[in-house]
Amino acid sequence: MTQLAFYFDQTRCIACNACAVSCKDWNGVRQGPVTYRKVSTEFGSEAFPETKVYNMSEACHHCEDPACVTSCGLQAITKRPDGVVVINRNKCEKAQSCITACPYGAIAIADDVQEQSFGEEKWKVDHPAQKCHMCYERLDAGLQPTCVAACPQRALDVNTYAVLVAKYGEIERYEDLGTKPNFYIKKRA
Amino acid sequence: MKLITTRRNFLKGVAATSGAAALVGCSKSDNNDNWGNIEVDDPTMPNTMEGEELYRGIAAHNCGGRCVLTAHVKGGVVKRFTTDERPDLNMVDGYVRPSMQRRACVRCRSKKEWLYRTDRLLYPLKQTRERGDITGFERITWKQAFNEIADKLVAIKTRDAGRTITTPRGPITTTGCEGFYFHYSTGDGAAFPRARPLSAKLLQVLGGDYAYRDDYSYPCHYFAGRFNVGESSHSVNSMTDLVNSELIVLWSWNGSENIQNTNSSWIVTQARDIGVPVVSVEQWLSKAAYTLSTGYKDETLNVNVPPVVSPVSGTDAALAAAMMYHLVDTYATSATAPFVTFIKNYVHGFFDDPTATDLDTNDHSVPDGASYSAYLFGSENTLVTRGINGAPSVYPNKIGYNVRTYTIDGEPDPLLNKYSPIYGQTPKTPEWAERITGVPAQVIKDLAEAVYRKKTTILCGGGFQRNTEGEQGIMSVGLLGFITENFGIRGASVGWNGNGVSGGASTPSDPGTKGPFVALRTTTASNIQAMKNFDTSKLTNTAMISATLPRSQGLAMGNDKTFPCFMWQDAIELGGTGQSRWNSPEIANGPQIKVLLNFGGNCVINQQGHVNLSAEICKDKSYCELIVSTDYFMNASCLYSDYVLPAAMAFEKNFVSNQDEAVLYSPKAVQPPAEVLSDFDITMGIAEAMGYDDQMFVITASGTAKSYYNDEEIIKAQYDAGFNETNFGMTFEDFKKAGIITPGQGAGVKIKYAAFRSNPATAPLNTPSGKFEAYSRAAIENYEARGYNNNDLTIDLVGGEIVTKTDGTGSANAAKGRYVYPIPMYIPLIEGRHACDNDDSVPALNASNASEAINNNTANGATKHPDPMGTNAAGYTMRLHTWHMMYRSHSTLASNGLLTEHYKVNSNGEITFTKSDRTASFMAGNEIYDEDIFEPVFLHPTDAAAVNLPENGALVYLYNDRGAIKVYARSNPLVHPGEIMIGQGSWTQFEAETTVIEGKTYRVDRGGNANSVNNIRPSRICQGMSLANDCKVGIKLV
Repeated sequence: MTQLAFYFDQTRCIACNACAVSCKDWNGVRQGPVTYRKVSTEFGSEAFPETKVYNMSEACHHCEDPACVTSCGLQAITKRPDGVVVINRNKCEKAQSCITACPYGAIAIADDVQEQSFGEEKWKVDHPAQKCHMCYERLDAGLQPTCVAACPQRALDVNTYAVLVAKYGEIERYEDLGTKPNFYIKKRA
Repeated sequence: MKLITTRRNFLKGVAATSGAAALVGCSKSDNNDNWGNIEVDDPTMPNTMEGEELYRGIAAHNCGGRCVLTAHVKGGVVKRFTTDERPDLNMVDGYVRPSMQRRACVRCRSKKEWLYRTDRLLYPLKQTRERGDITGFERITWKQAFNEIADKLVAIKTRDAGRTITTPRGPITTTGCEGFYFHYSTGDGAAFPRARPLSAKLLQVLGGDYAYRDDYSYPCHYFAGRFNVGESSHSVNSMTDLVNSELIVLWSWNGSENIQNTNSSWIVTQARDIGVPVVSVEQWLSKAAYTLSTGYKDETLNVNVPPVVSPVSGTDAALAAAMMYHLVDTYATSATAPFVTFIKNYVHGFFDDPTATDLDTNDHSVPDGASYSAYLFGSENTLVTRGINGAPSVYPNKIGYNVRTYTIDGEPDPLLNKYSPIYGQTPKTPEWAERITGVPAQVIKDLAEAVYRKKTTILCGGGFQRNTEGEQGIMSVGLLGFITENFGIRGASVGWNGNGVSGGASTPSDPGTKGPFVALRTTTASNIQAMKNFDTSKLTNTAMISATLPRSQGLAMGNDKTFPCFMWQDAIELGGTGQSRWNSPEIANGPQIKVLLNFGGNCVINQQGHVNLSAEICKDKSYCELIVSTDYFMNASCLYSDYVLPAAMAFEKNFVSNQDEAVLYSPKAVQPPAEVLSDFDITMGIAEAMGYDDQMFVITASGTAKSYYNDEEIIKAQYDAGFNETNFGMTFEDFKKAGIITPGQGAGVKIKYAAFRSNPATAPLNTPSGKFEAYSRAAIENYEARGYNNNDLTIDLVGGEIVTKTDGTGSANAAKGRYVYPIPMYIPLIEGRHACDNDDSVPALNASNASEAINNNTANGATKHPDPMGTNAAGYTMRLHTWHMMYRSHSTLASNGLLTEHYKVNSNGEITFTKSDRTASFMAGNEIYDEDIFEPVFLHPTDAAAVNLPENGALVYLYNDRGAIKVYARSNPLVHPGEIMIGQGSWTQFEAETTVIEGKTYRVDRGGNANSVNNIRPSRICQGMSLANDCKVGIKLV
């Protein structure tokens, strides 16, 4: 059993949102509050022009111990052999327990404006929960997830921890809030 | 570092779910140990790519990039886009000759939203009321559109063609219609068919048009290129050569955000990761500056340069001057010092050279005290004592403005009889520059030492030349590169990376620099105004403008094309009247524009400064009688057009483009919606209505001329004639499928000026002297040849003269001041700042004199900014700086919801996005005001505090004499204190009601278009675009 993980190089990221926009494009997520991948920026306290900038691009961390999986009474969330955590939206009844459970805020539901395909015949509810599924269909086709393939700065990658360490050297796990996130970062000094 | 996530109580509140739901949940698929067997039939989930047809094409924006974009089509609809998924062979992975994926940036990743937005223009529209009235547009048929436009073109031509116009230079008779003008536009990033050249072609089959020169992007680069280096611009070695540098300086270069050629930011990133230090000289902490810069510390050299050196915007020439002052002072120790010898071999006029002749043995003298180094040292005698120069600086302390002396609309030019300091007698010491630029003197010295002693590539962007003194910065920085020996070798060069060498191809099969599509890009047909207003009697070296000399290309400016595109409104309002708002003889003596074809652009109103004035000039149909726009959305330029024609986007039409070493084909993947047509078909429709369609595209093959009527056939004919299988190794059909041809890993590295560096005598540059020219007599003579009077008789030179053909040695005027000098210098922006403006120990200036307070013994000769426009007294105390933001290029993505949600905010400062159910009529009509969406602007925290901006920001008015915009202001530590940053390209949307701000009545632009407050005064010498950073505003909370 392998476990895939996201990798993020903070020294390369320009916070351009190519990852987030291409993700929405690939996954048919329209403009609006649901976004699988989020880009954010923090500033250091140094005075201009020494001010440091810390960008972050993160999606679902496909945790070792995914709180969302155990939280769902309908077993709508499962983990693939490659460790990718996937929501089966056809099973979701929008109890939102997964949203509460996820310590990273990776899961969301759309509103009527963003998701205009209501009551699709296989859905039990309008706007079932959704999140990043690491573009597993692309992984299965031998491609990188959309965000990774999109990044103009090559700041994102996906692989097993062992491969990522061998490739990028000093990387560290994203802050563990109890679920062992599979997200490794090359931090900016 | 704080990681940003929405923290939730871990596993608290696992909700109990209903039994019924749990039952359903167990229905199937939960076998396999809970690991997988995912149902993939959810319609919002992508599942597989099965059934999708892939069309690889081009991300065709005029952003500088021409990246790869692939449409996934199913059922005649683009379902999604991917970019380039060919192998990605990068330098950082050890490929010395990389073949990188040409990944599209965020802008083109949003294009599905763009294709299918509900506010797209779908039908031909005709304005039936006043220009600018959204309610006046009526849907018409294509037939009516074609016939009416054709009738008007023919009628105006019949009336005006061949008529004689009397100008101060004598009567001009034309064979074509000189009032025909196709407008500069950038919305279509194709090479062929491209909207703008198509419109040109339409006018040219009618006998000719009034062609412009330059563009809105790099006019001062072109100027400096022509006169300082003898080609179209300063330009660096192939970008892949960056790994050979010992230092990279990004000077006003933000390729991470504006995408200055595909992969340019990624290549700098790789060089950095391979170990090349990077320093940015940038007016704020741009994405490139804060991400890529490492700083440079070298204990051997004893230098310590911080990652980002941030001069006050518009003071780059002062910074570069001080760096060069330091180097000359340190290393030009005698007339035979190696530093001096090297410069004399390669750079004309850096030192005095009173007996010099040019390559054609004409007088090319640099009088004593007139060289650039003499300017650097001012009244200091150092270089005279060392036996290097003949005299101290002849340059005076102040410069005037060559503006009109008559009033327009009762108003004189506000710069009439005003002066700004040029510090001609002041030594340009690092301490002097520190007062002006705000960069510490020690950093200036350290950066100078590093650039001189290390193989350095100085990548120059465009921002620092987009102001009224834009020529000076790029000329100065180019010179800095040349005198520090950074040219002609690996790892060392200076200039722009957008000039066709950035990709790095030099192999025999290099498809980027030869081939059919290069020819297709240019419009070769007649410009009926060529040479008419160009007075060659002003030139010392007329051989340099002969079309038969290869060297002539360097000095072609002003004779091959007739007027700078930035002055088109002036040509509408005052062309041929003997007057010009900007005192341009090229306008005053040129034609009046009567027809404006605006195909694929938004420069009529939105992307042109002083929007209110542009709108006023366009509104009056007695001036410009016909304005036709093709576009995708009802933007501000469409609003002021008589006909608005809906155009097809990329993937709805076939086209080719090329960049660097690649040639790309972009296929038609889906049908355009409703009645939308491609620009090619629109153009041919009008041509057919005029009966000229057989003359539009005539290609001769094997001696036989044939007319073409179909874009793809034209592309194929050109492909087969020029390249074909032999050169490209593939048939046209295969090329279409591949979508891209590159040399792959066959691309070599181009070293600019290598032959010149090896032997300057046998491989001269295309300048009159054959060398880089720090002192360009040709540049000021060109200014005179274009009709300008360059003599400012109110100013005396200091103990010397400057010689031109008209003002020869010993003539009265040779000892008088000029508006344009032959060397680069520091000239303050008309709406600028100095770092010392709040320092009471530094003298202030009076702009009616501007030199009285300069004292080399006080504040190192520095002064406060002269403020010749009187902005401070008017309350416009903040500088507004317009930058090329990530999410638009240039204005064409302004309504794209997938992008606007990343920067636009509502009146509470919350993330918001353009409504997805807008219709075209919303775009400029009153209904738009219902939308609670605003453009953001950014201030440094100290300035935010000074205007009492709440912590989360607030809606503010930015205003000046030209207009007012309503925007959402936020505090941001990346902004240079004293500046306000605004992205270019938001769409103008005027409020219906007027608003009084500080006693002035405005129709506020709530669309937040920076150009509503930016000015349109062209730059001093080449009359280039000055929109980006020469604007001051007041700020007031709404």
